[in-house]
Amino acid sequence: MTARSGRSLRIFFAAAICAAFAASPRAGLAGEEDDLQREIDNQRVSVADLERLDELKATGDEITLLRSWLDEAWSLRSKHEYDQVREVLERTRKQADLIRAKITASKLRAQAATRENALADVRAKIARNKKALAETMKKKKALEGTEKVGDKGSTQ
Amino acid sequence: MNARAMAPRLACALLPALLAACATPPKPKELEAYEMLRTGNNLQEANKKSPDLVASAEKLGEKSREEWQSNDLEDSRRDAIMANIKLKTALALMEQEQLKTKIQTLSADQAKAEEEAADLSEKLANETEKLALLQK
Repeated sequence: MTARSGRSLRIFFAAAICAAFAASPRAGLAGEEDDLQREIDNQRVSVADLERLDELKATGDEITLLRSWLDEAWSLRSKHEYDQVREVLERTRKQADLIRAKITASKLRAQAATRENALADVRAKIARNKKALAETMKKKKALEGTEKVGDKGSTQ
Repeated sequence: MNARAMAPRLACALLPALLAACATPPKPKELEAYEMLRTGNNLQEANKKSPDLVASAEKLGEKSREEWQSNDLEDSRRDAIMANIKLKTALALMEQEQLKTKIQTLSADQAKAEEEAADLSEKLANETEKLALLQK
């Protein structure tokens, strides 16, 4: 190897190391940005799932808020405010938990209302039958009374 | 006009501005919403079901209040929102628990009522039959 080619090789390596050092924070930032974008996208997909899950439409306001915060996270990501994006994403994760809890509560509420109605129906049936039974007993007593009077009359 | 005569006038002119600068800013609406939610609900019951959520909400609510008084309105707003979410979640979980208990009670009542209705139907059928025999 000549002295000249050895020097070129050294320069090449030095340049490569410098480029790697210069690129690493940028690559790190790009990776972070990608991660945040992925997280926002994932959460946006799960908002649609939550909407489907909310059959009784009990969490419309909360879902609207969640969407607006995800938009806020997106806009902060565009401004490279990564710490703030993470804060907003933490909030949206908790908001999604809240929505899930509210959806479950709304389904349980509906179930309780259905059972209450069913119970009211049975109780109404009981009341009707009680009344019918009392009337039948009354008629029966009246008939038994007239039969007894008839029996007495025939023996005399 | 000499400096001695100017001083009280200057103080009078600057005092309102100084007072305004020191005054607490208006409470963020997110903190107001959290406080309303806190006073309008049964926290003790929610605390039984989700002590960690309630404690965390209380801590954030307190932090938000301090930040509001120190004029850190953005931080106050942010923490009040989080306190609100956590408290609402604790309340929703409490409601779930109450509804589950209610459904269990309703199921038991329903079973009892069904039994009573069946007994009554049988009795009514018997008595109606007896009445029909008497009428013949």
